[in-house]
Formats: sequence, structure tokens, C-alpha cells
Amino acid sequence: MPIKSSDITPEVLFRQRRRMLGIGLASLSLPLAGNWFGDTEELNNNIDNVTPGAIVQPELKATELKIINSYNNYYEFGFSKEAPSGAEKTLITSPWSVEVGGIGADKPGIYDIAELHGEYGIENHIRRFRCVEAWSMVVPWNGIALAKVIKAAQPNSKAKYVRFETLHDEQQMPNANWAGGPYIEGLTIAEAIHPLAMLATGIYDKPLEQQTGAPVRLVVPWKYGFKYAKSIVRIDLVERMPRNTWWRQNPNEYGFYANVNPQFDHPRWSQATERVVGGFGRQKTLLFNGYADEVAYLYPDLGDRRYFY
Amino acid sequence: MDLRRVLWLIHLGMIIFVGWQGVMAMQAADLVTYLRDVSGRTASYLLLGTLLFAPLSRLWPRLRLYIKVRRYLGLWGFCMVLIHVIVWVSLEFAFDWSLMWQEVNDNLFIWLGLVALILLLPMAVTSNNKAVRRLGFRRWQGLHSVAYLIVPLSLGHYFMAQKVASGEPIVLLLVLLLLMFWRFKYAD
Repeated sequence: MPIKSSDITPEVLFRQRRRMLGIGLASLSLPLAGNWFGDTEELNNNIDNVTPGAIVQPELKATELKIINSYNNYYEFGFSKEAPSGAEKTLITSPWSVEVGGIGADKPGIYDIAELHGEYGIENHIRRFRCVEAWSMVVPWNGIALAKVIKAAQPNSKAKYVRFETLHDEQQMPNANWAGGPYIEGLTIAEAIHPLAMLATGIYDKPLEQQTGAPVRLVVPWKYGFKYAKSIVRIDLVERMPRNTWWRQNPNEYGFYANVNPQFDHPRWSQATERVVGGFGRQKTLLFNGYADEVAYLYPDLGDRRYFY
Repeated sequence: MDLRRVLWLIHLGMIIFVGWQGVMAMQAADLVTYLRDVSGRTASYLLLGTLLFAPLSRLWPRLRLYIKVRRYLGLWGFCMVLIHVIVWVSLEFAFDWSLMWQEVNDNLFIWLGLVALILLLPMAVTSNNKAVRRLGFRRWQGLHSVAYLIVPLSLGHYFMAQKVASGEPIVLLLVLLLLMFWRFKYAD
């Protein structure tokens, strides 16, 4: 079936909107970091300085929505790229609430999506998406800065990591038990409050669909796609590094950080290049997926494989 | 059923299959991945299928009358391998030979596929009666026993290309193991 031109937001329009949002590029010089794990006060100050709108990428050409919505990895709905979009739409996304808590949160809370939108306002960001399987897309996300949700939970000194949990429901997900439990992902607190980290609720100004992780998913564009936990039901601020699902599945091939790096190959394939889905040929993969200027300071040793698988 | 009719059905079936997959590929989210994967997967089925003949004809001697089917399964398998490689070289790598060489060197599984392809070439070229006559049956048979190397290489290539140890290539590898056991345990 041919893709109708009405399905695609004209690229120019998208670029315009992005430009309008790109207020204050100067605020990019973030006062973050220094310390691997800063103290609580520093953390909160840092969050206040998060201005995600500052990082704009008008040069990126977004992948067509039709492609974004039909080429997906979502193992809870089946192992093939087509299964998540081809499967019956069994995921019930409304009502939906996200529980925020954990030992590191002084103010736990339960939010629904509308509440999150109302409180923080929707941001729009075009970001590169790089799968660990060496394919890529460019996705115009809509959502909110993760930092704002973290701040609302009032992190204390025990908030060293953030743990994300995907819905685990055999009724709604035909392959719910592929990993033997809910899909878990994690970030360090410094990563989680980075302006590039967002909780996405839409793509191309349309709500996320079942296959793209409706109704809310993580977006961390400098990391491999498996870090982008989908259909999130819990966010916990924790003290110990969470064991994310792929790390548990195969610790030799997948780790915690999973930052994109063309120099560190997957044990079975090269990460030097990537296929742009829907296009022809391959392109070179960029360090931190092209976001090195923004995130490299988070990782003290760029030669350490630990950060890159 | 008469052999010619069987062969005719195989060709017709394969032509319909290729056409249908072409249509499916046009609708897929990613044309290139679809064509690359479907041709590779079909090749592994067909090539594994050729190894079924020896053990099955021991079980069911009438099958020996249809031995020519094996030749055409092999040739269609080779055809799928060619499509697989052409898609990879042209659509996936846009003839960027240095990038391809880097990819090959970085990936053991591509090496396996490449070796299988190279071994497959002389077999494909000699898949006709003339070649059997020219080489003499013994030598021809010796050359074609390379199939027992090509199929494991292809299936290994398929298995290693997956992100997780996924079902399909494992089933194919198990079938292969069973076949090998049967073939060599009951060899004349």
C-alpha cells in the first residue's frame, strides 16, 4: 500500500516548528556534572537548569510515520518487526497511570498522562534513534522532560539510579513472558536528568501506538534503542544499579549503559555503520549517536567498553 | 506423479512465491531488510531440503526416481542466495566496497555466509548432466558432497545474525544435526 502524503507531516513544517522551539541555544552550556553522583542539592539545582528545548536538530530528516509505526521491536507482542503493529491492538492505554517512587524519592506519586502533560507542557524534539541491531530512524517525539518528573519526586541522597518498569500483563500482551517478568530498564540519576532524556507520549503530534510503546515510553537518544523502555507503569529512584532486561538476558552482549559507539562492536556484528530504515545504503554510526557534545561528560572514560554495550 | 510434472510444479511454485514476496516487500516498512531476510531464509530452507533426499530415499526407495528434484531445489536455493547477495551489495551497501569489506571483517557471520557462497558457486555451475559426464560420476559426487559443508555454514550464518537465540534457525540446525546423524550412521 502506498504511503499517502497526508500521513506525513511536511518536513518543512516540522523544521519550522522545531526552530520556534529552539529558544535559547546558549543555555546549552549546562552546569551539570563534574561529580559522577552529585549531592542532592546539586542534583536539584541541575534539574532546574534543564532546558531540553535548547537542543534542536533542524538538519535531521524525520522518518515517515508509517515506517516508524510498522518496523518495531516490542517482544511482549512477538519477536518479529511486524508483530507489534500487526498484532491485535490489545493494549489498554486508557486509563493509565505511572507510579513514581522508590527509596530515593521523598515525594512518591501516581500520575496519569494528561496530568503529566498539563503540569509540564508537551515538548517536541526530533532525535536520532539507533537500534543495537544496527538500524536507525529519525523520530519527531512529543513528550516531557524526564528531569521534571524526577524533580517532582524530590530525590534524596539515595537516588543514584532510576529504574523503569514496563507493563507486564498476559491478557494484553501475547508474548508477555518472553523474558520471564516485566521489562526493566535503568539510568544513572545524572543520565535521567539530562535534558536529552524524555518521557515520550507521542510521535508526529499523534499519541504513541501500541507498537511504539503507548502511552508513555523512555527516550534516551544517545543510547541503543533497547534502553527506551516502553509502556511504562513504574519509575523508581533507587540506590543500586538496576539489572535491566537485556543485561539479564545476555550479560556478554548487553550491559547497563548501552551508549552508542561505532568503535565497540557487538560480539556478533559491527556497530560501525547503520541502515536507515526505509532508505537505501548504510551510514556511519556516530559516537553517542551524534550527541557526544551533549553527553560525553557523563562518562569519565570513553575507552571503557562497560559504557558501550 | 510423473517427474516432469513435479519439476514443473516446483518451478511454478517458486515463481509465484518470488512474485508474491516482491509484492509483500513493497508493503513492508523496510524493503531492503525484507528482501534480504526473506531471500536468506528461503535459501536456507531450500539448501537444507536438498540434504533430505539421501536419508529419505533410504526410507522410501521410490524417491530415487525423483532425485532430479534435489538438483532444482539446490538451484533455486542458489538463486535465493544470489538475490540475498545482490540485495546486500546494491540496496544495503550501495556498492560501497570498502564499507562492505569492513563489515565482512567485523562480522564472523558474514564470513560464514561468504565462504558458503564461494563453495556454492562450483556446485551451481556443475548442476547439469553435461558436467556429470565431463567430470565422471565419482568426481562429480565428490564435488557435490561440499553441500554437507555449505548447509551448516549457511545455517550458522542465519543463526548468528539474530539478536537472540531465536527459534527458527535453531529448529533448522536441529534438523540438520538429525540428518547428519542419519546420513553417516547409516552410510553404505
